[in-house]
Amino acid sequence: MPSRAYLRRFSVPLRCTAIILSYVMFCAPVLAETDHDVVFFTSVDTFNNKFSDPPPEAADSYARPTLDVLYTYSGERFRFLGEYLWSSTESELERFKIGWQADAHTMVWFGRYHATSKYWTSEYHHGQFLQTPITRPSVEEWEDESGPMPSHLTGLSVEQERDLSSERALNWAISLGFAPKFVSQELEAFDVLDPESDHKLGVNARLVFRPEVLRNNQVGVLMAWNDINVESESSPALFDLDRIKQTTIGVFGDWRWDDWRLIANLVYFDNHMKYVDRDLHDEFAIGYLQFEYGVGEDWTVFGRSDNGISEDSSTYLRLLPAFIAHRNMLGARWDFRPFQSLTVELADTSAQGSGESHNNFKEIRFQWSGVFQ
Amino acid sequence: MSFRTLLVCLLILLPGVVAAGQQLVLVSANECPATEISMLDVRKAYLGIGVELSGYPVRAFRLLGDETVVQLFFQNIVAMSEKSYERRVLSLVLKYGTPRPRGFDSVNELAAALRSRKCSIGYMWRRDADSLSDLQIIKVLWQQN
Repeated sequence: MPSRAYLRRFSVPLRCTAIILSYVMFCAPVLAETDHDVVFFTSVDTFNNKFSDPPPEAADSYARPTLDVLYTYSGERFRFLGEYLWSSTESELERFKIGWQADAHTMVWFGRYHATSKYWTSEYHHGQFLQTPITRPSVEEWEDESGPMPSHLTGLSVEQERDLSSERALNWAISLGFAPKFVSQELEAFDVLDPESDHKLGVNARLVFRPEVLRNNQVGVLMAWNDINVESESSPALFDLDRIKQTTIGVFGDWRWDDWRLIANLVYFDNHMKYVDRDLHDEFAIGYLQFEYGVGEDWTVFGRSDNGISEDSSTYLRLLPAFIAHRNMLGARWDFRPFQSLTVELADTSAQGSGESHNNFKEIRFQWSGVFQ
Repeated sequence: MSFRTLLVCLLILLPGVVAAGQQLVLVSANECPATEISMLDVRKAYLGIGVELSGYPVRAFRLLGDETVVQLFFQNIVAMSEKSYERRVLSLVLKYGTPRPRGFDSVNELAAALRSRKCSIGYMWRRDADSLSDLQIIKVLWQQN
């Protein structure tokens, strides 16, 4: 018989599923003439690490179908955005926020949103088709995939884009909300249906410069401060750990030259780990460098290196043994219809592990992804 | 040359004949106080970037029913391939919930949408715009030489 905790965890997705299905079946035709959008991001990815000796914390080989449903509504000044993800491994309300358009350049949002201080996350969210590789950079991983920094906050967010001169623009965003807390071996986002869960505050900020607003090139600075509460009884590794005050500062660039594209992101972490009887200071930097090269209209070859500075000896990262500390990856993608693609990725990967050394393994991934709208 | 071959040649040339001397113009409802807009702002509006006209947020509408107009839109207004454009606006839906420019199959449907939202913009042939007295031309986007 399922436990109460299990039922509580899955009752939210079930209710949201019912609401979304009701909407799609009964309300969508009525609203067809208004500014609303329903987009289905789908993918099936397979993963195999059997040809090396996978460590216990690495994911088992699998085939994972995923459906991400995005719904947006836009009125004169009002806007709503909801995003729900189903896969064979999870079912989660990703974003649920209402917005007020103060002017043509400024949006004020309230609800559950993705952390504004993460570049990749802010760019692709769960739109798997829009990102070229199959895997996300390790610093950008979601909380339940051993991501090292919060991905979901619930609260207030403001973003604005201002023209500087000619085609140049400056975009900034700042948000304040409930940050995740640390449970067992991962961060756990705030649940709006469980307000007594004792989550603390997080503040995120992002500043982006676009030299040509009609193109995608951009560089920027990312900052976050998160007060992460710890459920110390959830794991022996968290014994006597009360809080983690995490500050991150990052820089990123996303640039295209003809057929080439380069994405770079480096994030510095400063963690003050507050134990019952002592404080521990932990700092490191992790980032990635990704290249993409377009071959004709439909093919892209790409590669990425995820690495860091002082991350090998980080006490904080050892609390996330499945965190991918290093990954050197190469891949190719074929876009065979306007919104469908096939991708293959080969990687040499190291999981953080909970001891002194990393656990190395090789992986191969295949993916089909598409968009239906 | 057989009659059938001649007919095929005429059908192939017909779109060019129809467009000869034509102008593709940008229009908005007469009630919008703005009487002009820069090409940069037109491109921004069709790419989902925030633009204001006389203090009103601009909504951009597309005309899909005329294949020549569709091609002119990608070549002259947004200056990118259809694939790049569709991905760009999809990306903005995902990131900000920005509404994609709505498309209409007929000029009448487009005109009705323009009337319903103050300072929204859309494009059509000049001869169609001239026949709609409650719309004003705020820019010539393309002209057949």
